[in-house]
Amino acid sequence: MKHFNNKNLVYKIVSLSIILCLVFFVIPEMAWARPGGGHSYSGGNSGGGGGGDDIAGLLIYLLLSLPPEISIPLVIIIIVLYWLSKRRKSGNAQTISSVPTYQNKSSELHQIEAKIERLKISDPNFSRVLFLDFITSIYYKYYSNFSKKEFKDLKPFLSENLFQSSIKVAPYSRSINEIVIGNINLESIFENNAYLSITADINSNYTLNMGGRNTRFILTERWTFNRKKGLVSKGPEQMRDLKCPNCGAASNFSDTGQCAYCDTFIESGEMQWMVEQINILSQETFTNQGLGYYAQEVGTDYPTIVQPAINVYINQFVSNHLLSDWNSYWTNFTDNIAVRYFNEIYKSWSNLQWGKVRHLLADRLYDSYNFWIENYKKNEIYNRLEKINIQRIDMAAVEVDQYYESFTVRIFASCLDYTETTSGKLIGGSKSQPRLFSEYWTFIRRTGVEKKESEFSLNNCPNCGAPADKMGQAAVCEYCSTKISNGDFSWILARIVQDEEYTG
Amino acid sequence: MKRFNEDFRTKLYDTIKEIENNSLVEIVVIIKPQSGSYKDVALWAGVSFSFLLYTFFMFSPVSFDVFLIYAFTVLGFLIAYGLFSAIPELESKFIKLKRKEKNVEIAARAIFQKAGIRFTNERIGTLIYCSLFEKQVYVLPDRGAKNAVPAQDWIKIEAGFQSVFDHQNLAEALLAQLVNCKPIFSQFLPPVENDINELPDNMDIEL
Repeated sequence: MKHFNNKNLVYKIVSLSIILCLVFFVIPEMAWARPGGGHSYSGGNSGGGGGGDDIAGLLIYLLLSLPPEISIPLVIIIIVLYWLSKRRKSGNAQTISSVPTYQNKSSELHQIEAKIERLKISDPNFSRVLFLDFITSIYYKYYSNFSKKEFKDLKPFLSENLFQSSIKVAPYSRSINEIVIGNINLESIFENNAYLSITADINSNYTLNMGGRNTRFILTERWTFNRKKGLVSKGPEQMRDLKCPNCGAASNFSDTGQCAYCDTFIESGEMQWMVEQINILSQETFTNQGLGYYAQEVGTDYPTIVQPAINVYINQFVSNHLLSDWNSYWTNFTDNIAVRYFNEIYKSWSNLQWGKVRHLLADRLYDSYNFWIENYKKNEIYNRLEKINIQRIDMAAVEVDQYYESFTVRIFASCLDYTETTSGKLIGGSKSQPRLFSEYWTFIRRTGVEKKESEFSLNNCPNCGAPADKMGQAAVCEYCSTKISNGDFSWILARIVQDEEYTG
Repeated sequence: MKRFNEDFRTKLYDTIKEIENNSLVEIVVIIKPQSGSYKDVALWAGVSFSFLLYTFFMFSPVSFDVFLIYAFTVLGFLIAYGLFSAIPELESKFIKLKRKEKNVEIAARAIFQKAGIRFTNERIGTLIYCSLFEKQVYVLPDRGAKNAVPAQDWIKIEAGFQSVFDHQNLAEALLAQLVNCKPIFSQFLPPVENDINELPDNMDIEL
C-alpha cells in the first residue's frame, strides 16, 4: 500500500513538473503576444510576441546560479541551438519555383526582338506601338460589348470559335464596364500553317455587373492574335480603332461578318489581326485594402535588360534625324524629357492631380493610373513621393518603325514613399527612410517629329503652345482641338514597368 | 536552399520550356524547405528529456540540491527542444513517413489550387512539388494530363523524382529527372497547333 502511495506521489510530482515546464515556456509565449502586435499591412511576420525577455531573464538567473563549469558550456549550447533554429526558420520561408530568372528573361527578349525584326522585314508597316493600340481597342470593345447586340461588330476580329463561345457565355443580365488596361506585354511570336500568331499578356481590371451588383476584378489574360501570313499591317487609323479592314469605314458588321458599307464578307484573320484565343491567367477580386500596402522592393539590383543589338537601332535613329552624335542627344533627352517627366508625373501622382499631366501620357497609361488615383481619392488617402532623387538613367531599348519611335529607359531613383490619410495619418511606407527603386519608362513619338527636346514645355500644348490646362480625359487640347496623347507632336510616356516585371 | 542558386533556376526554367515546346503539358516546379509543422516533436522531446532528467534526480542514489533539480529540469527541456528545433535531421528521425507524406500531399494540393494550375483548357497542368525536409517529391497532374499518360509511366515519373534524394547533388538530379520526363510527355501529350503557355510566370504560391 505504501509502495502504491509513493508511486502515486511520483506520478503527481512528474505531472506537476511537466505542467510547470509548459506553463513557464509555452503558455507565456501565447499569453504575452501582442494582439495584432507588429503587424504590417502585408500581414507579414514582422514583430514578435512579448515575453521573450521574461524567459531570457529566468534562463539567465538559472544559469548564473549554476557553477561556471556547467553554466558556460550550457550557455554556448543554448546560443548555438538558438542560432541554428533561427537559421532554419528563416530558411523555411524561402520557396524556389520555376519562374524565369534575369537570364531567362534576357534570352526570351532576344528571341522576341529577333522575331519582331523578322516580321518587320515581311511587314514593314508593323509597329509595336500601333499593335498595342489595336489590342487595347479590341479589348475594350470585346468586354464593353460583351452582352450587347453590338458584339456582332467584332465578328471579323474574332475567330469563329471565340465569337460563338463568347455569345454563348454572355447572358444579357451581365455587363462589363469601367475597363482599365494596365500593361500589355508581347509574350511570343510564332507561325503555324497559315497564320502568324502573337500572344500578349494583358493586365487589366474591370467591373462586372451581375443582377445589378458590381464586382471589380483584377486580371491577367493571355490573348492570342492570328493573321494570315504575308499580310501587311494597316495604318494608324485602322489600328487604333476597329474599322472595316476592306473599306476603312466604322465597324458595322452583320452576324456573318458582312460590312454594312462595302458589303464585303470579312473572313477573320484574312485582312486584319483576329483574336484566336483568350486565356485568363489570373483573376482576383479587387479590394481597397492593398492601397497602403508596401511590398519589399525587389529587382533594383537586377542588371538592366538591354535590347539586343541596341546600337543598330541607335544608329538608325541618329541617321533618321541627321544627328551629329548620339551622346549629346542622349544627354538632351534625359535632361529635358526623362528627368522632367519623371519629376512632374510623380508630383502629380503625389497630389492626386493626374489631369495635370494628361498631355504627357498615352491614353492607356493615363487610364490605368487614373484608376488608382480615383481609388485613393475615394478612400481619402495620398501616396506621397517626396524628395525624389534620380540617381541614374540607363538606356534599355530603342525602336524605330514606319509610324513610331520609342525609347525605353531605366530610371534609378530614391524618394520618401509613404501613404497617408488626408488628416496626415501614416498608413504605409516611411516618412524618413528613402526607398530606392528603379522602373522602365517607355517614351514614344511619331516618326518624323523633329521638335527639339530643349524647346519642349511641360506646361503647354505641344501643338499650339497654349497652356496645357484644358486637356480633358481624352487629351484633346481645347484651344486647338487636337489630340495630344498619340505622340504626334512630342514625346509622350506610354508605359511604366517595374524592374522585376520588365521583359522588354 | 543555397544549392538552388540562380544558375539552377535558369536551367530549371529552360528545361521546363524545352519540355513544353515538345509537349502540350504545362509544368510547374515548386521547391519548399518544409511542408508541414512539426513543432510537437520538439516539444515532446523537451518534455520527455525533462521527465527523464527529473526522474533521474528523484531516484538517483546521490542527493541533489533542490535548485539544481529545478534548473536542470527546465534547462533539459530547453536543450532537447532546441536540439530538435535546430537540427532537422534529428527531428526527421522521429516523424513517421506517413505523416510526412500526408503533409507533402496537402501542401502540394493546396499550391496546385492556389497557383491556379488547374486553369488550363485541356487540364494538362502538372505540379512537381519537392519538399526538402520530408525528402518527398509529389507529382500532381491535372485530370487531362493524368488521363493522357499511362499509369505505369506516372509511377515511373514519380519513382524517378523520389530517387533524387539518393543523389549527392539534388539540384542536378532534379533537372536530370525533368529531362527524363521529356520523351514521356512528348509521346503521350504531343504539342498541338496554337499551343500557348496558359499558366502565368508569377504564380501565387505562398500558403
